[in-house]
Formats: sequence, structure tokens, C-alpha cells
Amino acid sequence: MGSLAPNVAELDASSFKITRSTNLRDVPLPGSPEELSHSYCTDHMVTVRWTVNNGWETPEIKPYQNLSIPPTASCLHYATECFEGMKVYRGYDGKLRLFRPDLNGERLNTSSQRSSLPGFKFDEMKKLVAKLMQIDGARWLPKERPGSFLYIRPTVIGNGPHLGVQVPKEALLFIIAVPWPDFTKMKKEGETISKGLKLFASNPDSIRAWPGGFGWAKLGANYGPSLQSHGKAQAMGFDQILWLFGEDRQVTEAGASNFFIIWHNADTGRLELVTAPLDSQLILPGVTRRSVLELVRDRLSEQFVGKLTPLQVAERTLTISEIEKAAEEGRIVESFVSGTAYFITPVAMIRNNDKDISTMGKDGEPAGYAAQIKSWLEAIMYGKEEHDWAYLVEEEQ
Amino acid sequence: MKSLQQLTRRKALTGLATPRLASQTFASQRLWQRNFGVTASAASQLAALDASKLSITKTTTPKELTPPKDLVFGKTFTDHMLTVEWTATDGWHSPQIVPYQNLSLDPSTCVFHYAFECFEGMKAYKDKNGGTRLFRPNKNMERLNKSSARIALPTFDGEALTKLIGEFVKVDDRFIPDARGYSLYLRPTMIGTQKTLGVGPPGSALLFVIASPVGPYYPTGFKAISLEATDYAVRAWPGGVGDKKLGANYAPCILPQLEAASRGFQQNLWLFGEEEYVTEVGTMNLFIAIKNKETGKNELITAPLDGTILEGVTRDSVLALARERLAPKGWEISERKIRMSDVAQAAEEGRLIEVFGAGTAAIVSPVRSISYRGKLVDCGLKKDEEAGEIALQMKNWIEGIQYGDEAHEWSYEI
Repeated sequence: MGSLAPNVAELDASSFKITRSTNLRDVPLPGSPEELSHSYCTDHMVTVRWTVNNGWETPEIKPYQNLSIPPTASCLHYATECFEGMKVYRGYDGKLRLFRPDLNGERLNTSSQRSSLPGFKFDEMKKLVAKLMQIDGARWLPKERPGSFLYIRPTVIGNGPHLGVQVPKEALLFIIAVPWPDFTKMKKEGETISKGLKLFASNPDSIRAWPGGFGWAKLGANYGPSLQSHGKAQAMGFDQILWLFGEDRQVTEAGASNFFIIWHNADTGRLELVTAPLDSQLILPGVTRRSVLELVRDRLSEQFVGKLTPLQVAERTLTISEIEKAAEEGRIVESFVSGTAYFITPVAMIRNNDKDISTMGKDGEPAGYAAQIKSWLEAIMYGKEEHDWAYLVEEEQ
Repeated sequence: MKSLQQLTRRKALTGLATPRLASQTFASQRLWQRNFGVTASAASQLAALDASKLSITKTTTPKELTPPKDLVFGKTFTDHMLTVEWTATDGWHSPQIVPYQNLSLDPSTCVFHYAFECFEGMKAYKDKNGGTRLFRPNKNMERLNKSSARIALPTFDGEALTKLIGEFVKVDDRFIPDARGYSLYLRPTMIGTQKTLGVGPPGSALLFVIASPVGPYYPTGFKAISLEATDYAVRAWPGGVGDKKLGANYAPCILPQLEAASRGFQQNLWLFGEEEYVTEVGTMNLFIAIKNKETGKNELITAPLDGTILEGVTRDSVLALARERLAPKGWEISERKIRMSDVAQAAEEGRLIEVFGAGTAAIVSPVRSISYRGKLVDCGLKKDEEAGEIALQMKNWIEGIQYGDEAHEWSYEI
């Protein structure tokens, strides 16, 4: 399905209308209720209005404020909305970085068009984010706190004064930044950190996505409807739903993250890293997912890394019964999920129907692959390693 | 004594394993219970929707009325809107009728990000005595409650909201054109308003109703439409939410609709599965009248409510009227699955009598042809005909009830 972009102004992040906040907010402390609210945003926000007649207007940076939305706005009725999740990192060298922001820009552009919202030149988005961070970065991610990050939420919504199931005649792209709790740093006294997530395999009566649907795009429409299953799983003490699909119960993705398993292949005996393929269009093409695959192909497919044995990468359909069988035969080495919010988190077990499947290695410990991949990614994000995946944000002095 | 289940849940809710849950307050713990039903007692202590608490603030700048002939669906709105806030801690707040105005929402409001939203479409009609009527409002209330619960938004007393909508319609009564085919379109909408980027059940919500005067869907008489049988995109699937009126069902269908339009077809005919079952048309339910090959009887068919079909109020009304008034004349009325190939075959064999969509906007929408596998399936209308007999009959029956010409329990007098 093609682009809807008419012949009007393109999104252009080369100039901004900037209105500075005169009432700067206190930056919340790590672990504070403000930070835990996931809504205590930085001093400024980016907005860019789009109309069917004029296209994208000049981007604005303005004090964080409420949006004035007509009750007819398409996003309130027909869910014409999509978003991205990304982070900005304060490096150990004092610099601010984004991680592969063009991948987010590209995906937002695709999601936007899939939800009948306007497309844009994908590489402009990172400049919008960078501008916001140029202004808010210094206070909200101080240089004295290297190794910390803010969560960035670019969003596109359908707007407008008329009601009707049709292409919105107005849209708004906005970007907000919010301190996000870093749970790896919040271990409480005396608490035993669990070794990994507990996943609850979805029932056939609840299906996240379907071929010919939109599970591959980051639309609001994929999130609200999945909450019911997620809530049931959490009420039973699980962290996430593992979404299964089809009569053969294919493993697609876990909650809002991609799922990986490392095992010895049943036929070849070779060690492989398996994750669901993108071509069925059921899963979200995660930026972290892609980075994991590329790093493993590049650094771990041929030679040992410390004690870690080399891995073959396989993007292929895998079923829950394959995982169950691998567990019974002691072939599982490690399992983890990846995503911007979750980053890289090991999975300890999966409950499928009434059966609990351990997804740790034989000795009940993660083998260390997830930890190694995570540390490679962190080195790039926080500037310990020079890499073209990192995009430097020039800050105001 | 606390059950093990409760303890387990509590542990899960206070655990640090997921970003969202660590930030759960007590109120939102109650939310999980409300939505996922381990114990229901907490929710019942919250304030119910109470129509007697209504307050009205009238506009000081009344709008000029648009001449009825210039009315376009969804373009002009009345002077006021009905709003009711809900919070997880207090339940339903006092309903308000206020001047029609923009909503002021924080950019992190969950409706913008995760599609916590659902709506209804219904109409108010002027009868010949100058009275105002709604059509089966209880069906809309029932459906809005089902939709809302499915998307973790609050439920409400349907009778109370019907009463409130009645009060709202009375305030803006002058906007309802007094002519057959005209009505006041009403759009009850529920949105999640909690400020948070964490994906969890919204701790606050807003129920609002706006109203738009509308003219006849077909101002110069019926105009039969052509459909594109769509197999490359799906509207709904088993285990999904296609049977609820959620915003999430609409945005993804706009692009395929444009695709169909680019090839000269007004709507998608949504096929499902390898069997190519006929499900819905655009945003309407679909009815197919055929002469059944096996029984030799005339049969009016629509897809069964298997979880992928919207429970249309017009659909239900067409079925009920058909059972009451067509069945005695020998018609079979069936809620069953039918394959597109069977529809095409019936057309080839001259057994396809007529096809029409059914929904609130048009009541019925006759279909001339369906593009399927590179061929046009002729849906039985003669060249100079824009509607079949059944569609026409249904429109007249339903309109008769909507406008109060026929006394009927479906008509609700305000």
C-alpha cells in the first residue's frame, strides 16, 4: 500500500520556532514518584502541525503544555495514531547520544502511513529529537550522571474539526521526553532479584496480530486491545504475555518486546540464536532486535567471546512445542527479550497452558549471552565504544 | 483470610519486574481487579453514573443553523456537548452539559498512544408531532459498555446515559431538522485520560457526547455502490477485537479503503480466511439475499456474531424485522457463514437476489456489484434500479419506527 503524501511541504527540521520555558521544572530524582509516573516530562516539547492543504508546518519547540484537541479529532475516535520509543543517553565521556535514530524515523514514517497519517522524510525526525535534547539535555541528563537516559516518545496523531472514517485532514507530530525508571539500578535492600522474566503464553482466544493486519507497525491500535490479556497474566504473577499465533502455536513476540532463544538445534546439534521472522508481518521490527541480530552475526558467529561458544543466527518460525521439547531434552542455553523499554532482559520461564517451561540453561543460570550483548550495546550507547550506530547530540553551552 | 491468589497478585503488583507495575498506586491495583475480575467488590464502592447530578452551562454564543440542504455528515456540530469524567478513586463524577469546546489533554495522555478509546453512533429523530426520539438506545449503551470493558475503560449505567443524552438533545433541540431523512447524529465516545506512557489500565477516563445534524445519506434517492472483495488486508480476526466498537478497528481500514477507491470501488468487502468468508462491508454489516440451491427457498443471509463481526444495531433490527415480516412470506433468515465463491456462483446461476450493507448512517446501502478475482459479480439489481426490494422495504420499516410513524418498542421518546 503506497504513500498518501500529497505534493505539499515536506517535514523540514532545518529551522525551528522556539519559545523557551520561563518556568523550569524540578528534575525528579531517580526512583521518585514523579519518575515512576512515566509522565513527568522535560521542560519543552516538539510539535509539528500538518494539514492536507499545506503539508508540514515549521517545527516548534515550546514549553511542555497540554494539547488543545477538538472533540472530533480523528485520533480520539478512530485511533489514527502511532508512536516510537527511543532513548537519549548521557555518555561516560559527557556527551549525549541517540541510538540508531533513523531506524525509529523510518518506522514512524511507515506506521504513520499505515494509519492513514502523513509520511515524512525519515531522517528529519532525529533532528527534531536532537533539537529538543540540545535544549533540555543539560538539565535533565546532567553530565554528573553519566550512564543515565531519558525516554523519548515521538507520536503522530490524526486531528481535525470534522468527524468521519477517512484520511485525517490535520495531523500533529509531537515529541516529548520523560525520565524513565531504570529498574536495574533500583534493587532494594534484601530483595532477591529474579533471574529473569516469567512469560505467560497466550491462549487461542486472544491473538495480538494477524497476517494482513498491522502487527508489524507501531500503531496505538496494537496496544490498548492487548492490555486485557496482559492484565490477566500480571494478575497471576507473570511479567509479560508471550503472544502465540496459529494452530501450530508459533511464538511471535513477548508483550511489547521481541523474543529470543538460544538452544542446540535438534537436528544439527549446533548452537543457534532463534527469533521470529519479520516476513510474516506479525511482529514489530524492533530496533534492539535488529541490533542484537547484527551484533551476534558480526561478533559471535565465528569466534569465541570469553567462554561464550559461537552462535548461528536463525530468523525463523518457532513454536511453543519446539521450546517445550528443547527444554525436556536439556537443549536450551538461554532466552531473553529485547526492546527499548526492556532493553535486554533474560527470560526465566514460560507457562504454556498448565505447563511451566524453564528457559534457563541446565544449571538454572543464564549462560551470559544476553549480558554480553547488553554490554556491547551499552558501550555504543554510552560512548565507551565509537560506533556509527550512535548519533551525537550537540548541546547548548 | 487472604487467599493465595490475592497474595500472589499483590506480590506481582508490587514487584519490580516490569516498569509499569512498579508505579502502580493502590487505586490502579484496584483497576487491575476491576478489569481482570479476581474480586469485584472494590469497584462497586465507586460512584455510579448519576443523571440527577447533571449541571448545564449554556453557551453565550449560539451558532447559526446550517440550512438543512447544506448539511454534511460530521461537519457541523451543535452548541453544546455532554461530558462526564471518571476516576479510579471516585468513579463517575457529575455529568455536565457545556458549550462545545476543545479538550485540553496532556501529550502523555494514554488515548494518544495506546488507543484507549471506543465510541457509538446513534441518532435523534423528529416525529410528526414535534417530539424527539432515539432508536433502540439501550442497544448502543449495551455495546458501548462491552467495548469499554474490553479496552480497560470504565462501564456505566446505560439507562443513566440514555437519560443524559435525552437532556443533551433537548438543550440542542433546535438543531434537529424537522424533515424525513434528517436527524441529529450522536457520538458518545469514551477515552482514557490518564497521563502516563506506561501501558496499563487507565486510571481516569472521559465520556463525552457530541452531536451533528445530518441529512439523508442518499439525498437524491438510493445510489447503489460497488465493492472490492478484499483478501490482502484483514479488518478483524478470531481472538481480536473486531466485534467491539473500538477506535483500533477503524484507522487500519482507511488505507485499504483508499486502495479500493483508487480502483473505482466505494468500499471494501472484507473477506476472511482461506475460505474467503464474507464478513462486513466498509463499516457496515452485510446482507445477502439468494435463492438457496438446496431448499429452493429465498434466504436472507448475514455473517454470524462469531467475534469478528460488529454487533450492529441496524443488523439486529433488519434480522428481527425479517424474522417477523419476511419469514411468514416464505423467507429463510440465516445468520451463517457464506463464502465469496458461493455468492459468485449464486450470481452466475441467477440466484443472487440482492445485496446490501446495513448501518446507522444509511440504514441500508444497496450493492450493485462486487469485484472478485478479476471479475465483477453482479448483485441482482436491474440497470435502472438503485435498490432491491428487501433493502427498500427494510429502510421504510426502520424509518417508520425511527420517525414514530409506527408505534414500536424500539422507539424511545425523549
